[in-house]
Amino acid sequence: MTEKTARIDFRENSRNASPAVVAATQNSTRTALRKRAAVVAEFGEERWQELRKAGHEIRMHALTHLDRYLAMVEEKVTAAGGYVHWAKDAEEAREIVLGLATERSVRSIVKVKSMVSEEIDLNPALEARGIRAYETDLGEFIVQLAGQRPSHITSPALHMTKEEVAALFCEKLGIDACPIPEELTEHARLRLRPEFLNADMGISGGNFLIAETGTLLIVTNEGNGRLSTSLPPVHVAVVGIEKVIPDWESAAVLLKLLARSVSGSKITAYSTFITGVREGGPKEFHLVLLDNGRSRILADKVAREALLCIRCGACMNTCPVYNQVGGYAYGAVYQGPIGSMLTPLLLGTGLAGGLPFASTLCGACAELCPVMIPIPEILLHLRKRFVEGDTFESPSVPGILKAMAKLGRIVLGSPTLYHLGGRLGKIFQAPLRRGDWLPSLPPPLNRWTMARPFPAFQGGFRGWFKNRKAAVKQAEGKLHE
Amino acid sequence: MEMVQLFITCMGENLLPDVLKKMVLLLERLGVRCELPEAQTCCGQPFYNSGFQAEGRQMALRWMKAFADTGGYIVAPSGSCVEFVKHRYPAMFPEGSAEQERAVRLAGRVLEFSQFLVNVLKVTDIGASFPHRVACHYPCHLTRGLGVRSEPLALLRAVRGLELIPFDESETCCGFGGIFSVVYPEVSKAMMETKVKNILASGAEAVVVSEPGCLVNIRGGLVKAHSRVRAMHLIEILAEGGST
Amino acid sequence: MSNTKSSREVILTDVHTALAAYAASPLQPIPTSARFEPRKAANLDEEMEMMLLEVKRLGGRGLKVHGRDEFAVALDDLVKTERIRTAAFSDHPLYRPYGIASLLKGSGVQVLSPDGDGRRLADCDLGITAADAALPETGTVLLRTTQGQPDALSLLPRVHLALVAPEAFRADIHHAFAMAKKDRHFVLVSGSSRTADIEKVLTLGVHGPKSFHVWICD
Repeated sequence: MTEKTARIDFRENSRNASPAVVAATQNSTRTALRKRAAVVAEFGEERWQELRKAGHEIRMHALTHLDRYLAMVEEKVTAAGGYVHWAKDAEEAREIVLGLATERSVRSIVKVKSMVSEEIDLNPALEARGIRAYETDLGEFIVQLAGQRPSHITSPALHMTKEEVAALFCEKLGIDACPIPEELTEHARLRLRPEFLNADMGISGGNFLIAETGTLLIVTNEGNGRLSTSLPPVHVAVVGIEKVIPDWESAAVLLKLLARSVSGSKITAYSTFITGVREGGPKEFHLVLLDNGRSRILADKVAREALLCIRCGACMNTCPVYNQVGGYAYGAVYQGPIGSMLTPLLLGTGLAGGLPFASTLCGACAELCPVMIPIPEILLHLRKRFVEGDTFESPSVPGILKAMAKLGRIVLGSPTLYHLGGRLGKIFQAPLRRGDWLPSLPPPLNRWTMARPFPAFQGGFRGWFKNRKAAVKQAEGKLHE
Repeated sequence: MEMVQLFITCMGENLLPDVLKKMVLLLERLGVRCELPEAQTCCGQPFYNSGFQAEGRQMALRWMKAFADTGGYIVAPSGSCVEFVKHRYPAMFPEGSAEQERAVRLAGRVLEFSQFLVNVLKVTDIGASFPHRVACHYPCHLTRGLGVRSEPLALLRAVRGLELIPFDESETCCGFGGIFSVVYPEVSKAMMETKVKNILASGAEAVVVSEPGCLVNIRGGLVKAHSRVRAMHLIEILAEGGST
Repeated sequence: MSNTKSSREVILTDVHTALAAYAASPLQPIPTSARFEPRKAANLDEEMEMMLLEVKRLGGRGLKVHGRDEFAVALDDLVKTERIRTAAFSDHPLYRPYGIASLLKGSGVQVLSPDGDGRRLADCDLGITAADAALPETGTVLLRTTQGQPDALSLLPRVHLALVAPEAFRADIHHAFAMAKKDRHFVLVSGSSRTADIEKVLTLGVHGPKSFHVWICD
């Protein structure tokens, strides 16, 4: 992601979205939302809102004291026998991991699904050094086999049908696989079991870092997170600096929010708590703390709330835009509403300025977000950055749009021109008019009429209102005579 | 006697004058005196939400000037425009400035049509009759932005003969989204078509869409689909069969 | 890594600068609005019933077992129905009076040691753990990770049996954390290993156990 320099063209990407991907995406997100609604109802709507509020406050407190909590994490992890590394950017993070691996002659690695690992493009770097890295989360294993990228942050293979997965397993694993999820899962289990047992290193991300004790918290449903962090002799966790939370009380609140928001479970199957090294566990524990643009986001008072994100994916599931285009249209590691914020924040609006516009500002995401990120607010903030620029970036909007906006402002800003415009509209539309509608308009307005006709300009309300007032006044006058 | 300032919105004025006329007739029937601040044009939302915040702010100043020296509530047939004035204006100007003070004052006066009827006038039954199966779409800014959910329902439930029927994803965005519909027309189209499909599947004869932008979008979609289902503003339903 | 120190300083300085508005003040206490009132426990019987119900909802099987004799019968039954041939268990003092090893041997099961990193448990059929806490609301057991109870014991065998004492019940996750955080290494287990990565179809037994049993032993 960091090396990618091409501008992300959401429109072009969305045109290329395959109908099959979109259908599979909708099918999965609908199920996820239904389950989520059921567990939230069981928890109680009112209590849930209190929980969300607490989650928001915890994350805000952690972010606004991030320097102290990071120092606390470093101190506690070191005291518990772990090593802490700091990576300013993706390249440094990759170098640290590669260094650890080559120093120990590591040949095979088991990995726990991690968005940060995708963000720093770790797998290709490992492969380039001849180190085999196995993604062990089932969905991530599938997309890795397919040579693809995850299309959803918690459900990487959400866009694929069981038939596609079966065909993929037949081709890549050389087995006879039926399109039955249970059987496909069994194939993955058998394929990966020996890798867990033989790996020289386990690499994970982390859901949270509990500053109070320097504890890394990883949740997984499949158990791959536990195997990857307990069997290999070395465990490396690459974690974004924003993942720090103050204490265990905070962890209790956030775990409740996370499981219910991700998959509609009351709790994730496994929550693993790792504090440095332990008897019977890996001999070494390395924590890589990654900045990669996060401290810059932190300096932005509006956008910093995007860092509250706990990566549950609920905003994507509920987003009507994501549901029409699938994850790939966002052209980056983070998709949906969270992607429309994080991608331009990490890559700049010059490359990703189109993403904040890939939203109708309908607010469905903010309504579900477990840590109450004001997503539409941040999207507006980034739209402004793209158009007007701010202290972080200069504007990237094409001049022609700027000129059009200026003209629009002048016309709409003057009652005389505004009314003249309305009258001219009525005159110019005459040849295009079919009854009450304008079925097709010239560019750029054909972008509207390609989907549905535009209603004909009507106007006349002010005149009607004036006449009516006058008539009423006259009637009243007569009454008083 | 209650007096209101009509906030007709640029979309309402140019594309839906009939809705505005019916709104005036309904309000007058309920004993409300309507006034029309002549200098109003657009509230600035299309600019502001497209990232042109400076232009949006200039439009907001204009709008505030048009309404500042008037009295009574400011009522609009749009939740989106109301939400913009109510929530965005006060946040648009520097803390403690005269502009912000003015924005906060105006924000306290502005109401969407159904809010005004149910919460201020305390009426739900205005004698309308519409003996049809009706589905209700929940426009995003009205529902989630302003939190107006029960008011339109209360008004619809009081309409004679009206059978309110549920439809799938009635709270999902219709794909309008202002500038979104022209920046990403294909996605907007797909969202609108999903909305139309759900409306048609419900078996409704009419669908209530109380938001000018969404109304123009969904109405156009139904026309394009050659459907006979009518997309109507709540005001248009309330004006049916009454004594106007 | 010569640059490590400087990267550390760069990041901490950047973060500190970004938080300039807050930097002057010392670490503020966590606001009370960031706290959440945990669930309150009902009476123990109800809590135990809830636990059994939630375990069932997770696709597992819960059981109340009174005394050694019932335990012996239940274990023999489990061995038969799950076709257990090899097993390993956590040698917790609380369950020593049951003589788990001899019961297993009596049922014809080969007993393995769980000690070490647990690689040898890969071919084991049954792993028996002792829970330090039970959370009835979610059907969760808290397992300390120790030399005698490694992660692998509740993970590699295809059947996982967790033993819970009535004293281990905690009303909410907050109480369990308050108790266990000093141990620093533990895991919360709620049901079998599961996935819904293919078409959101819930499938049990991915990389961990396919079958999850919780016995409340008093």
